[in-house]
Amino acid sequence: MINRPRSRSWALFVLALTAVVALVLHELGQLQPVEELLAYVIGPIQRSVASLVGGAGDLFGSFRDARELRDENRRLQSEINRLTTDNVRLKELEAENAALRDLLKFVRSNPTYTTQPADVIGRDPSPYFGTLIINAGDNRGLKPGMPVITGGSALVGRVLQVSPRTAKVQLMGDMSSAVNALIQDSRATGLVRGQPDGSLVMDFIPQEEKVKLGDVVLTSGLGGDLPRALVIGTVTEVTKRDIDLFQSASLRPAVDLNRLEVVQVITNFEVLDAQTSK
Amino acid sequence: MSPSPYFTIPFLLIVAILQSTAAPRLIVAGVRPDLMFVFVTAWTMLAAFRARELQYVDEPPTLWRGINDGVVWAFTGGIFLDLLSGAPLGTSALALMLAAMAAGIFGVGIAAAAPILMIIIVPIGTFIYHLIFLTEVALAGRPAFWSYAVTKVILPSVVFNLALFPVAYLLLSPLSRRTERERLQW
Repeated sequence: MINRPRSRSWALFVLALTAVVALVLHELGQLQPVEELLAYVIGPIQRSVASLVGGAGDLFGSFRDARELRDENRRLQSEINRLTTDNVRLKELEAENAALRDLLKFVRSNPTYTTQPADVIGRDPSPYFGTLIINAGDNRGLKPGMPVITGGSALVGRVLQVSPRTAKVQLMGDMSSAVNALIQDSRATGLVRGQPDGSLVMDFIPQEEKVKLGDVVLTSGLGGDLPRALVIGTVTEVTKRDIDLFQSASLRPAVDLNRLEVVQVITNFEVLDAQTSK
Repeated sequence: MSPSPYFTIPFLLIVAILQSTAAPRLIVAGVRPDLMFVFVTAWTMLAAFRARELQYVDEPPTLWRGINDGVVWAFTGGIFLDLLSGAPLGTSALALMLAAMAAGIFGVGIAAAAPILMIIIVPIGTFIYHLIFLTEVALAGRPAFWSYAVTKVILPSVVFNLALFPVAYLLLSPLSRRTERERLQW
């Protein structure tokens, strides 16, 4: 018994050391096989619990009529979101089409993307990370860096990590996320970044550009890490000071990133950014 | 005696999954509960108290019983959290271990004399957990917004965790009594 405290203190030390070593190995990318294996085991359990939690949520939701109304409302809201984003995308394509016809005198085919639908089965347990877990992974051809959308063409984020049956998706609102963007009307470019509260801010907009409330912000395609003309959101506030080199704008995302239930992963977009394919 | 790993591992896995699936549905004022932290802290305190009740107060194993059990739970639960998170593997594990260690030391040293004082460990532990987590994240090269974290995440989380702590404590109490009985029989 005398040795027991010492052995226990060693056990604590070993556990702490293991955690630190895991941190370092993770940063070096050496733990991916282990993480994939564990995610393979956890994935089915998480899917079951997610469906149970979803079911319980409905059960406590209240009466049948209220539930039907809620479902109907959700369906209609989803339809509105889809039509809104489709409309914006069509407007963008129309503008693009006109510009190409007028200036370049050639017809450019519309990019068509192959998508894989996936259910959201979990969210990041930490409040400091904006990550989703979806029930599609290597088994459906997902790879890190692939763009994730919803409602037709509203950008959600990018695939961060892929396991055999699940994948982690980094949301646009994550603090590490940065997306090259442009304002649809003025064509002013900037960088959309996630904020600590999950909201979006478009930075590095040149001072001379006019930015209006309600302006639609799209992906610019610069950098080659995302397709162009995906809808990011609309401008809700503009911050412009004479002493700054650039102006910035707060955005309302095209979709509520906290209430996503189904997403689509664009699987045939070739990611050019080396960083995302890491 | 600690609970069997056949219980502990699935239990902590379920808590981690609930943290990922159910906790986002329980968001109040932009904050969700730290389910894993609450259960780990509650178990650490229970382990320390049970050891004290059984009059091992002056023996070093009492201190280690509380800390050891809590830290093992913290490590296991933290690894599960990290697997479901975008955070590097080990981040939550290390932060939870240090929070559990503080809870264990406090549980034996102070709160055991007046159990009502254990409620103090929740805010202290919440701060330790979040600040260590953020420090690790910052060291990994990720932006850390300290003032935002303290005012908008940690302080509201303290309230949430305080409300959940008694529930977790009561839920785990029978398990603590049972494992202690097994220890005596052994």
